[in-house]
Amino acid sequence: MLTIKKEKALPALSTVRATPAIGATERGSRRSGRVRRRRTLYVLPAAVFLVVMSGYPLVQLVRMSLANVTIATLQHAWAYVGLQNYRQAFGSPVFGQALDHTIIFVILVFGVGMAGGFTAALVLRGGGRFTVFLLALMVFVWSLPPVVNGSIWRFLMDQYGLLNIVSRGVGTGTVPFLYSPGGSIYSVALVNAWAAVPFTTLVFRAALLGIDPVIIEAGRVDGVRKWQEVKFILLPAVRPTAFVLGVLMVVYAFRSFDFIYVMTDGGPGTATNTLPFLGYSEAFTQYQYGLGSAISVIAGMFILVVAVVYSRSVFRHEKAK
Amino acid sequence: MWTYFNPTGANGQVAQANMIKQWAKLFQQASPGSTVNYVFIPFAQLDGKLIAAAAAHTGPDAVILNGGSTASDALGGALANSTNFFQKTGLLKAYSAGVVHSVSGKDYSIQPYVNLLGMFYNATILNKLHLTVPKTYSQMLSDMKAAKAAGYWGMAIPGSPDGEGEFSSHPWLTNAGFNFSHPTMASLVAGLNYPAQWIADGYVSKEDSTLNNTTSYQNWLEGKTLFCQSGNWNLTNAATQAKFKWGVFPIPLASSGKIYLGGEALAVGAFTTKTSLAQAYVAAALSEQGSLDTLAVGSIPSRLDLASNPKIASNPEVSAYVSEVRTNGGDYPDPGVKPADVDQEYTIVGQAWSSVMAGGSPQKAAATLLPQLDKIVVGS
Repeated sequence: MLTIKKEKALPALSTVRATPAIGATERGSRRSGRVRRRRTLYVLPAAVFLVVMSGYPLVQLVRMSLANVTIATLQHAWAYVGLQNYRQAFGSPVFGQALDHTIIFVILVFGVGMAGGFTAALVLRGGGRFTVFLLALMVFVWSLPPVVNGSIWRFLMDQYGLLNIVSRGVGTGTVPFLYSPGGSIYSVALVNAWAAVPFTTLVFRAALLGIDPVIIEAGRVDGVRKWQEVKFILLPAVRPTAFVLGVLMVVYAFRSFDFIYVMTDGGPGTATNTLPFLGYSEAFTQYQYGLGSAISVIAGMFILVVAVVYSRSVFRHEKAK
Repeated sequence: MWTYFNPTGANGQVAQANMIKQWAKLFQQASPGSTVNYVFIPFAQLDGKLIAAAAAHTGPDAVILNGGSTASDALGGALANSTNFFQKTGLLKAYSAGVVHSVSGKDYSIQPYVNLLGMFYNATILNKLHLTVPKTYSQMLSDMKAAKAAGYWGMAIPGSPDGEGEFSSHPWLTNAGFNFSHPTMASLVAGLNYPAQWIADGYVSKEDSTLNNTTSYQNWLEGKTLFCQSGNWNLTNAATQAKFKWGVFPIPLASSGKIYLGGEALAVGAFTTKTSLAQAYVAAALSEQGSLDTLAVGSIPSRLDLASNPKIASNPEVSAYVSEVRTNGGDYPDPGVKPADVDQEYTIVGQAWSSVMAGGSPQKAAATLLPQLDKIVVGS
C-alpha cells in the first residue's frame, strides 16, 4: 500500500532568515564602522566651516540681543540686560507693522513664485528653440544681482517710468507703485516674486520631465482632459518637489532684504519695513545693535520653525527609502 | 581718504569733486611727494563702514564726513581725538565753536564751511506765470498754487525716510514751534501739517517721500517744478546743469524756524598709520585757502577771518544763504538730542516726515514718533 506522507510545508521565503556565521557578522560590523567613520571624515571639514562661519556669528548675535550694545558701548564690555531688548522690540509699534509686512511678503512671494513657476514649467515642458530661448532668458534674469533687478524695477515703477507711461496712456492715471503707504509693499513683494519665478520654473520643469511618459500617455488614451491631467497626474507627481520648493520659497521670502533696500529703503515712512529690514535699520542706521540683534533673532526663530519642518520631511523621506 | 564726494563728479557732484581736488593740491604743496587717494563711499554707507572698520581696528587716514555724524563716529571709535592737533595748529581759534564737533570735551572734527537749505526757484516758470519771488510763506503757497494750475509741480523737497529727510524737515517742524528740548504732540502735528497740506493741495508729488537731496534736486532740474528746497551745495551744480533761468531765496520762516547749519567736517582716522600726513591734509583743507575753496561749491566758508571776505558778499545766491545763517541758523545735530542717539533721531524723524509726504496722517505719524523721541532727548 502506498503511503503518502504529508510533508511539512517549507516556510515562506520571506520568513527564511539566513543565520550568518559569527565571523561574517563581526567583519560586517567592522566594515560598516569604517564606512561611518569615513563618511564622518568627509563631512567634518564642512561641519567645522559651518560652525565657524555660521555658529560663531549666531552665538554673538544672541549675546548681543541680551546686552546693551549701542554705538557708545560697541567697543567696550557689553552689559547684560536680559530680555530687555526683546521686550522693547515687541512693545514697539513699528515691530508689529514690520511683522504684518513680512507675512504679506511671504504670502505673495510664495504664492506667485510657486504658481508662476508651475505654470511656466507646464508651458515649457516641451522642447524646441523657443523653449530653450525662454529658459535661457529665465536663467539670465534669475542670475541678475538683486541690486540690478531692483534698480531696473525702480526706474520702471517711477511716476515717470515706463509702467506709468503705459498706465497714463491707457487712461488709468499715475500709479504710486513705490510711494503708496498701503500699496508699496505689494509692489516690492511682486518684484521679489518675479525674480524667484525662474528658479521655481526650472525645478518644477525638472520634476515634470521626471514623470514617466507612459502614465501621461495612458491618461490621454483614457480620454483625460488637460486640466484633469494637471490635477490628477502632474500635481500629485510633483508634490514632494513642491513641498521642498515651498519651504525654500518661504525662507527666501522671509529673509528678503535687497529689493526693499534698493527700491524703497523701507519707505515711504516705514511702509515697506519687514522684520529683516527693521533689524538692519535698528543695528546699522540707528546703531542700536542690541535691539537690532533681538529683532533678527526673532526673525530667525520663524525661519527655524520652517527649517525644522523641512529637515523632518527630508529625514522621513530618507528613512522611507 | 574716505568721502561721499565722488571724485569723478558723478551724481551731479562736479563742484564737490573740484573742491576736494583743490584740497589735495593744497596738501601736496605742504607735503611734497605725498598723494591723496580718495575712496568714494555712498553717503548712506559711510558711517556704517567707519564703525565696522573701527571694530576691526582699521580705517581711513582721514575722512570727510557729515559734521552731524561726528558724535556717532567718535563714540564708535572711528575718529582720532584731535584736540591737541587743533590747538597746536591754531585751528580752534580760526573757527567758531559751532563748527567744531566735540564729544565729552574732546574735539574730533571741524567744518571748513556750512551748508544749509534754501529755496531754489525756476525763474523761467516764474516769469511765464507772471509771479514774483516770494518773501513770505503765504506768497510761496500762492505761487505754488499758480504753478499747479499751469500743470507744474509746486515744489520738490526731499522726503526719504532717513537722515536726509530729517534734514529737510527741520525748518518746517521748528517753524511750527517744535523743539527737541521739549517735544510736544501739538507742535509735532503742526510741523507735519506742512507737508500734509502740500500733498493734499497737489503742490508736491507723493513720490518725493522716497527721494533724497540728490534725486529731488535732479527732479527739479527737469524743469517741471517751480521751487526746490535744496542746499547751497547745489549752487555751482545748478549754474552748469540747469537749462532754465533760476535763482535762490531764503526759506520764508518765522524766528522759531531753524535751518540746520550742516556741512562736511574733516577728521583724522583713529587707526591711521600716517598721522602726520593725515593731519597735514586736514590742516590744508581747513586753511584759509581751503575754506575759501568751498565757495566754488556754493558753500559758506566758516573760518572766522573770512566773514567779511568780498567774494562772499558779492555772490547773490550765496548771500541768500548767508542771511539765513544769521536769522535762522541752528546747530546740527540739535543739542536737544543725546549724542549717542543722534542717528536714531535722524531715522525716526525722517520716517515720520516720509510717511506724511506719502499721504499719511500727521496725527498718526506724530503719535508713533513722540514716544520714541521721549527716550532719546537730553534729560530723558
